[in-house]
Amino acid sequence: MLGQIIISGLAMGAIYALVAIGYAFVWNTMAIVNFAAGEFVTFAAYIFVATFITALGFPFVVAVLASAVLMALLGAVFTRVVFARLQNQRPLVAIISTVAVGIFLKEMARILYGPEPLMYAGPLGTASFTVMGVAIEWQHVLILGVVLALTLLQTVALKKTLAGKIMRAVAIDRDTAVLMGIPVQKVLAGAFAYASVLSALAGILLAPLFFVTTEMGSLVGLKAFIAMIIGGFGSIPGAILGGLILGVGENIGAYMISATYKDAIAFVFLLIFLVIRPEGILPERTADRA
Amino acid sequence: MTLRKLTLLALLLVFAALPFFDGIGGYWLHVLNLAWIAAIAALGVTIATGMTGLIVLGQAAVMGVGAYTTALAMMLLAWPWWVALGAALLLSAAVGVALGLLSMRIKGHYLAIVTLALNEIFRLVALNESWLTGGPMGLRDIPGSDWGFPGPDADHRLYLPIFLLMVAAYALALRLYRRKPGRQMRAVRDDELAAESMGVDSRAIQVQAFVLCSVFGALAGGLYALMNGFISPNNFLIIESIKIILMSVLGGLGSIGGTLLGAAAITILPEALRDLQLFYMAAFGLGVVIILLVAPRGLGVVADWLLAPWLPLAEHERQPEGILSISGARPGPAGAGAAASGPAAAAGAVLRLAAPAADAPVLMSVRGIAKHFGGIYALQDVGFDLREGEILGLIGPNGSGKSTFVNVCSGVVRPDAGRITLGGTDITGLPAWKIHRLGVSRIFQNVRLWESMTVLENVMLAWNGEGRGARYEREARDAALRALEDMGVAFLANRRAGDLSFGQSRMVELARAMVTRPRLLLLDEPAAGLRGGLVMELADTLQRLRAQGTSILVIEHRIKLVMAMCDRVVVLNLGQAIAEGPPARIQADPQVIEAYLGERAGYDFEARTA
Repeated sequence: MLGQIIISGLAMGAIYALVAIGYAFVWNTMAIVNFAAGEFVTFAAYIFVATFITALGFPFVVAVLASAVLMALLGAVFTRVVFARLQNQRPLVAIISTVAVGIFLKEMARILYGPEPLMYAGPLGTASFTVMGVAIEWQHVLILGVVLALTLLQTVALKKTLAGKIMRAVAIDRDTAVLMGIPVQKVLAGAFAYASVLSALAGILLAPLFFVTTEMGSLVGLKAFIAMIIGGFGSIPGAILGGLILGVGENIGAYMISATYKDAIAFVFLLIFLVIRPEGILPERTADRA
Repeated sequence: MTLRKLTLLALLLVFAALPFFDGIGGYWLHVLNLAWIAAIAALGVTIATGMTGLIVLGQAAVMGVGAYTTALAMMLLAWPWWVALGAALLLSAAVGVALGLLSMRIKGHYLAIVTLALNEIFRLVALNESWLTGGPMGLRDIPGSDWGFPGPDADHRLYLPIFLLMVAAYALALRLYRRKPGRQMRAVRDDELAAESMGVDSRAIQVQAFVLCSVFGALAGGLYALMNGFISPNNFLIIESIKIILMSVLGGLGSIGGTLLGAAAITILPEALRDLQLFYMAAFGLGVVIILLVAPRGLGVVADWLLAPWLPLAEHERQPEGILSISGARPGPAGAGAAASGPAAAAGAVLRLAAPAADAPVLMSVRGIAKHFGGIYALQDVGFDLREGEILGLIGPNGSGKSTFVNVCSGVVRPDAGRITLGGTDITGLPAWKIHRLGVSRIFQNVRLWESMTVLENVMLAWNGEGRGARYEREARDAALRALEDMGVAFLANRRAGDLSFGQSRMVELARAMVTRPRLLLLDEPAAGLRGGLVMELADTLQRLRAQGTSILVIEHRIKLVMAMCDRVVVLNLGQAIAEGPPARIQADPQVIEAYLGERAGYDFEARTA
C-alpha cells in the first residue's frame, strides 16, 4: 500500500515540479510570481482535451505539440501585454494583476468550453503493472518519465546552447545583458512561453487523473508555489525537489493522518518550512529578492 | 470644501433614508446591505494592504471566523446577538495579533501565499467539521437580532445599523489615515528601514494593522450572519477574499473613499448586469489588469475628492518657482529661495563655533565594534569617542566600512562584537526606533523619504513628542514646519515627497532628521549628488545645527568639505580605524595617503625587483 502511495505521490509531485520550474523561470528573469500559473494548467487541459482531441480528433502526440505551441504563444502574448509591464511595479500590484489574469483565463475556459467537467481517459487509461507487489499505473510512469526527460533536456539546454546561456545571463544580471545587446524583452517572452509550455504539459498529464474542470489548476498552481518555497525560491533543482517532497508528503499525510484534510497538508508543510527554513532546502544565491 | 462636505452629508442622508421609501424593493436593499458589509471588510484590507503594505489574500476567512463565531455563540450558547458579535470581534483581534506576529518573519509573496493558504484551511475545516459548522450545508436559521429599528424583514431592520457601522468604520479609517498611526503605517509601507530609523516600531505597527484588518473583517462577517440568517463555507472562499482585495485595488489601493466606491461597484455591478453573468467575471479580471496598468489610482481619484475632503492632499502642480527654485538664484520674499540658501544665506556667513575642548564630555563612545558579512569583515575592532558639540568626520576609501558603521550606530545593523554607549547608556544592538528615541537621528546615503507621503507628513512622522489626538497633531505640524523652515524648504511642505529633486529631497531628509533636535546626527555622505554651490552651504548648515546643540558624525568623501566642516576626523580602511585627529594632520598622514592612493610607485617597483 505504502509503495503505491509513494509512487502516486511522486507522480503528483512531478506535476507540481513542472509548474514550480515555470515559477522559477519567471521569477529569475522577470522577478514576478505568476499567480495565474494554475489557470494556465486549466486552460491548457481544456484546449488539449476539448479542442485538439475531441473536436479536431488529433492523435495524442500531435495534440500535445499543438497545445504546447498554442500555450507558448499565449504566454508570449501575455508577457508582452501584461507581465513585462509589471516588473517595475510594487509586488502587491504584480501579485494582484497576475491573480486577475488567472480569473480571466479561468472564466474564458468557462465561456469557451462550458461549465460541465470533461472526462478524458488518455491513451494509457488506468492500465497498470505490478512490481514486487506494488501496482503501478502507466500514467504515473508517463508523468515521471516526461518530467525526468524534460529536466535533463533543460539542464543540457541551459548549460550548452546559446539560448540557454542568454537566458542565464538575463537571470543573473538584466542590465548588463541589455548592454551586451541581448534583446531582453524577447528573452523574457521566451522564458514565460517556456513556463507556459510546462504548465500545458502539467495540464495534459493531469487530465486523465482528474476531471477537467475550471477549478482543476487552481490548487495545483498554489501547491506548486509552495513546492518552490520549500525547495528554495527561484531555484530550479529546488523546485523539482520541493515538488516531489510535497507530492509524496501530501499522499503519506493523507494516508496516515486524514484524507479529508489532504489539501491542508501542503499548507501546513508551508507554514512549518517558513518557520524552520524560510530560505528553502536548496536556496538560490539571490533568493533575497523575494 | 464646504460644498463637498454638504454633498457628502446629502449623500449620507439619502442612503440612510432609503429603507423608509416604499419604492425600494427588498432585493435592492439586500444588495446595498451586502455592499456596505463588503465595504467594512475591504476597509480592513485597505488598512493592512493599502496603507501598511501587508498583502492579505485571506480576508474572507476572517469574515468567516466572525460569521461562524457570531452564529454559533447565538445558536449553541444562546448568547444575545451583541455579546456574540463582541466575542467574534475579540476572537478576530487575537487572530490579527497572530497574523501580525507571523508577518514579522514572512513578507511579500510569502505573506500573500500564507494568507491564501489559511483561507483554504478555513474552508476545509468549515466543510469537514460538520458536528460544529454544519459542514457543506452550513448553519441555517441563525436567530435574528433586534437593533431597535422596525421593518418587515432582516434586510429592512438591519439596513440602518449596517449602514451606520459602515460609516463609522469609514470615519475610523479616515481618522487613522490622517493621524500618527496612519502616517506610521504608510511609512512602513513606503520604506520600512527608514521608518524604523525615524522612530517607528514597525513590529507594533504591523500588529496594529492586522488587528484592525481582522476586526473589520469579523465585524463584516458577523453582520452578514445576522442579516442573512444562513451561512455556509461557500460564502467565504478564496475568490471572495480576492474580490475583497480587488475592491481595495479598484479604489486605488490605500484610498479610503476609493475602497468604498470599489466595494459598491464590485457588489452592485454583477447584480445590475445579471444578463451578462457569463461574461462578467472574465471582464472583471480583464478590467482589474487594465486599471492597474493604466490608471493605478482607480476610483480613488474621484473618491478622495468627494468622500474625504479632510485628507492631506499633495499639491500636484509644478511649484511656481519652477526649476529656478533649486538654483539658489532667487532669495524669494517668503524665504522660499533655494533648498539650502534661504535663512543661511540671509544671515550671511554663520560664525564657526570653536571645536569642543579635548576634555569635553564624551557623547558617544565606541569600543571594539566588529561586524562581518559571511567571511568578509566590514568592521574590525573600531573604537573612538565623539564629544559633545563635536563635528566628527569619518572618511575612508570605498568599502572601508563607513556606511556599515553608521548602520551599526543607528541600530539598522547589529554588531557582532563591541559596545556603543550614548551618554552612558548602552545602545549596542538596540532596535533602530529605540535608538532614535534616545536622540540619535540619521540621513541615508541615497535619500530615503517616504515617497507617497507629503513632505510635511515625512517630517511630522519623525517628530517624537509626547501625547496624542488633535494637540499632538498640531504640535507635530508646528515642529515639522519649523524644521523645514530651518532648512529653507518650508515652501515644499505640501508637495509629494516623491516629486522632489534630489537636492530638495536631501534638505527635506535633513529637516526630518533634525525635527527631534537630536543629540547626535549621523550623516552618510550628505553632499553626495549635490550641486557645487549647495555642497559648501552644507558646511554652514552643519555649524548651525551644532549651535542648536547637536553633535554630528559625518561620512564624507570630499576632502575640501571635510576640512571646512570637521573638528576631528577618523579614518577607516578595510574595516579598521587607522588614524584619528584634526583634519590638517590627517591630510598629511602617510598611512591615510597610502590607504587612498596606494603605496609609492617607486617602492612598489623596488619591492618587485628585489
